[in-house]
Amino acid sequence: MAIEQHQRPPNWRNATVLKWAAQIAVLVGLVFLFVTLGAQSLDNFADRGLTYSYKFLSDPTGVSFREGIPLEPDTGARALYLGLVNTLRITISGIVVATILGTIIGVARLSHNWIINKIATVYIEIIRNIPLLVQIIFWGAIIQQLKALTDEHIGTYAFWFTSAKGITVPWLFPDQGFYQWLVFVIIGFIAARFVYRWRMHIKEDEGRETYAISWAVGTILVAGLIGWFAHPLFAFLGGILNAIGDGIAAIPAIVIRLMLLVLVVAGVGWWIMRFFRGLRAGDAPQMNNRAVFGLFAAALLIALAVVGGFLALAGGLEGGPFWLSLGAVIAVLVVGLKYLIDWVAPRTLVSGLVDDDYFRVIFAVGAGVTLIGILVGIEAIGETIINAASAFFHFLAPKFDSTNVAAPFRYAPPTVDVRGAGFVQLSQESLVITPGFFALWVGVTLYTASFIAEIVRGGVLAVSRGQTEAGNALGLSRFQLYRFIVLPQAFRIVLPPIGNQYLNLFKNTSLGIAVAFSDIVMVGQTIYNQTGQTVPVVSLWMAFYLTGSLILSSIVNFANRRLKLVER
Amino acid sequence: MADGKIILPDLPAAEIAPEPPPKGAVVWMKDNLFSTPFSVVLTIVGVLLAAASIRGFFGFLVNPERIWQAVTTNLRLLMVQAYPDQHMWRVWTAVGAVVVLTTLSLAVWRVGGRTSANKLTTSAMGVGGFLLAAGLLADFPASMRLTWAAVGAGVVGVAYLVRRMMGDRAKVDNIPSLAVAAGLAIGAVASLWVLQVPVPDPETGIRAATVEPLANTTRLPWLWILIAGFVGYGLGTRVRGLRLMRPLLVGAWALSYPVIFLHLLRGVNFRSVGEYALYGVAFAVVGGVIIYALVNLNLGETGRLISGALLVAALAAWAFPTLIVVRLLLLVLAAFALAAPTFGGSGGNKWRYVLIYLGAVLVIVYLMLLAVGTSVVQTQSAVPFGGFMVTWLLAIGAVALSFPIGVTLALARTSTLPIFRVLATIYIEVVRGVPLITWLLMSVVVFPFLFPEGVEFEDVVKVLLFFTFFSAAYLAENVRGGLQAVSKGQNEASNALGMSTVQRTAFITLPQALRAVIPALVGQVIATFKDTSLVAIVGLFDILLIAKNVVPNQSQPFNFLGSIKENLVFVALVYWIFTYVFSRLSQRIEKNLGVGER
Repeated sequence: MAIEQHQRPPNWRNATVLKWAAQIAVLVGLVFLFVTLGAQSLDNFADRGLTYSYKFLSDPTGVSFREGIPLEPDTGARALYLGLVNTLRITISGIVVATILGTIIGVARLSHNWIINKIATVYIEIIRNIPLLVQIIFWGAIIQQLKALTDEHIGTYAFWFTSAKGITVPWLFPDQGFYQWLVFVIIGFIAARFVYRWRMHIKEDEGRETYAISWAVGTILVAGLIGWFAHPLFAFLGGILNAIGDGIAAIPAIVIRLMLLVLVVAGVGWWIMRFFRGLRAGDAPQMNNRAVFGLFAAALLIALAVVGGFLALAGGLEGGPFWLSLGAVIAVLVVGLKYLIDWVAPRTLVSGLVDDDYFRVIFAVGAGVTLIGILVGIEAIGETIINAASAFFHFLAPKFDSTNVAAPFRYAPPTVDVRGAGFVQLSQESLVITPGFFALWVGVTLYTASFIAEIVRGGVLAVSRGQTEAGNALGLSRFQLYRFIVLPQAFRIVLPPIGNQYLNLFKNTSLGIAVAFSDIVMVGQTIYNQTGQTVPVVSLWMAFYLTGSLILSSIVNFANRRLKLVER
Repeated sequence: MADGKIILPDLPAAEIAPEPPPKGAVVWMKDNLFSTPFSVVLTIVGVLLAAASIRGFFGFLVNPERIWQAVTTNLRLLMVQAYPDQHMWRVWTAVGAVVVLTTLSLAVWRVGGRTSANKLTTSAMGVGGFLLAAGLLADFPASMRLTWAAVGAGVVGVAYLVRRMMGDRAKVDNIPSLAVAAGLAIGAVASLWVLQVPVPDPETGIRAATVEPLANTTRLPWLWILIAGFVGYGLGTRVRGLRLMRPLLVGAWALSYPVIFLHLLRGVNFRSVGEYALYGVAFAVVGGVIIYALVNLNLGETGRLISGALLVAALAAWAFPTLIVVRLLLLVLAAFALAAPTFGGSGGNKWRYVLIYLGAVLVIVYLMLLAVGTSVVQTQSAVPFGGFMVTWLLAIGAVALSFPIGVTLALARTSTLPIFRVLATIYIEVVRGVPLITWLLMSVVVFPFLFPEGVEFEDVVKVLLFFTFFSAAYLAENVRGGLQAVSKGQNEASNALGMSTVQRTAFITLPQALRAVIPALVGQVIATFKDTSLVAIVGLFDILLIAKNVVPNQSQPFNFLGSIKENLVFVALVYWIFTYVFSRLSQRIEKNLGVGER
């Protein structure tokens, strides 16, 4: 029996129409607001004789930073890269240490030993409840009141040397042959994967312990060892990378813009195709998915051509007439799309479409047209992408220079020497932990560790009691119980919240600005103080932090998916 | 069974549980410190670690290089910056008002459980033990060492004796926790009259010339506040039977923020009261009539048309030069008109709805009067907020203002409307993906550029705005968690009853969702409270910036140069006390609500 067709309500009482009208009104209002504010800010900039530009990326900065990689060449881009490296250095080392420390304290918090338990509790309650910034500034104040350097400190030290200028420790630095050696290590990692599988295969077949993990680690070590001596073999990669860079630079910019266009059109077509496939309520359609895809991609291109043609022809129109005729063009396109959907739908679907579905498809096409308009409108986008890709390969190529036959690493002992205008300094040849790095690193690590400890404690408590009791019944020692029963299960529970803490740590490194640590925020601030280019710098910050957050959370999500129990 | 009775089989009389073995100190130590060889090693390591920490901590405190006078002479600077002398009563009144409101609420909601002498003596013994350990271990001068050790031993001894004398009665929960808190408050205020600190001499500039009570100027106000607090509690116990008491108190708490920060502490000099009152009365009368008419459900389509017209008028008012108060009042009127069929109903509800509208008009006129009024409290900056005061201004303001935004965002993110969902998701993820300090820097260097010349904001306002938007994104995620925890059956049931989307959200979904996220919301308050310290980086003189940059650079009349560590320790202590109390509070709430257990 066919479902009785309801009479369609008039548009001003149709809930779907009203909902979409409200949504589109809010969207248009927001766009209007942003355009107004943006135009106003451009005006205000122009009043100061400035325009938004990213030229500072290639201009010399004229400042020196106390921290990190050398500023060569002296450009804004290199300075921001320096800040980025510093941020990542603190993030990665902080994550490693905070995880270890946090786990230890979290387990100590559960200890039956009264005094250990109390120490862990006091640590957590103190560190967690004091703002991180206060702690960072405190550590900065502590290190600044250490001993000042004098002539009698000049010399080389065996372990480390602390002073108000920072802490210097022995370290292995990458040397000229490092990148060739790295290729060996990467090959080692790939080989280790196969070795691991092979050993696991034997284990499953024969049921004996095959030490798969030790074998895999051994493979990497062997590859590294071979690479230590054989790394000049990969010098030829330099030429190849150079050629790739040249090849990319030879691509005309129009190709990139066309690729972007194709990408958007394909994306919208694919979305609509999937949307129709999701709606399909029966089988034996007269039209396949590919035809739907093609039809709507073509419709998008036609819409694009019509709007573009209108904009090209409407040069003489202004104000009211322009908006009215643009509205008419859009209305015609929308009506055309509606007929297209009406024509396609019965040939792919069994059940009918509701109003909401029309709106979704039309909105997708509209968003596609707008996006392409923006992408095509920005002329520099093709060249920027080509330049960046080519610069990347040209940057890598000299690292594989065949004349670089020195060892992959260089050992540097902690040293105090006299430099510049006769000032006693910690030698830059060795690894120097500056006061800013120390304060930020200690602050961020201790702070995050206290949160991780609470998460670990919660995770351990969440492991069912029966597991502990079963372990006790088997006569496992407390260490064995934790190592083999409780912690592996707790790990699954705590991974998502700990991932959140990693993200917080990553973002909290921006507080280094308070102790003059040159992270990306401080470098950016230095640059806009000199050039006045606030908005471009802020946009780079946002791009960096959003990308970083995205990468970190995808790593955590990936690990989470791999570790999740397969449930019935 | 036919008559509905359930007959239980005869059970054997339960055996009386054997008395637990006596637990002496030796048994306790054997269980908790020396149970296994590994535990013995841990105990030794732990004792050494604890001893070294206590020694190091107190060594840091009593080191002769420490300049604690930098903190004690600058207490007022740290708390309220340069708030003028003759206006200090405003600060005290504000603190007193909050204390009275708190004690009133404690009485009206009958908060507070009971605790046992056993638990109290255990705490006292912990404190005494700590004092004793500090006295013995720390690097104190001999006389001080003796005092600390004696006091510590005395406290432990008294607590132990009390427990022994009370015997089994000590285990009964019969002491009201509030009485304990009151005792502590009395003790704290009394200590202001007793404790003495060295005071530097302004004539000679020598650090420790004379010894005076710590709180010469503040002990009297604190005493009054203490008394007011007790009076408030007494009053609360009298009036807690009244029906309207709880809604009134909730309203008072909601209004306390603008009244305290915008009115009392700013010392508003009201302007153009007559004009605003006129608008207020006009909107109250005309709007009241319209709302009363619209609450009538029989109106049907006409009501919708009227409220639609009001909405259009309210939006149009923003496009034409109109007084802001009129724009706001129109918006409120339109919102109330649109929601009238949802909240109206019958009988008393109608009048209640109109009354709420009138209250809203009154509040808006009052807030606008505050906004246009000038301040009589003259300081260097246009806004007389500084020091710890600014921390509270930002923390409470950001959370309170971000609440409606956050709830809206959460609803948008979980809604079925795709554009709203995408917009809310983008907003939340972008705000959360970028660190707070970047947003604060933006509020200072980018935000002012977005407005035409002549439109200027105070630094505090800019920072508060960005704090609000930042906090809203995090709050939205918390609320979203609560929304997703509401079971689907609830939605289906409300649909079956024929509720509209608005009714379902307002009466079914949100109350349950918000109840489930109260602990997370308190966590949000704590996080925001700690985050306010970041304003020091953008140059707002909060307690941290004063402690870090102002006090350590004072050389006249006293030489406090380089006293940064002392100040930071003090700031850390201040922050710690409040965050610790808050987090304890949130644990208590979580337990009382039983959120995690259902």
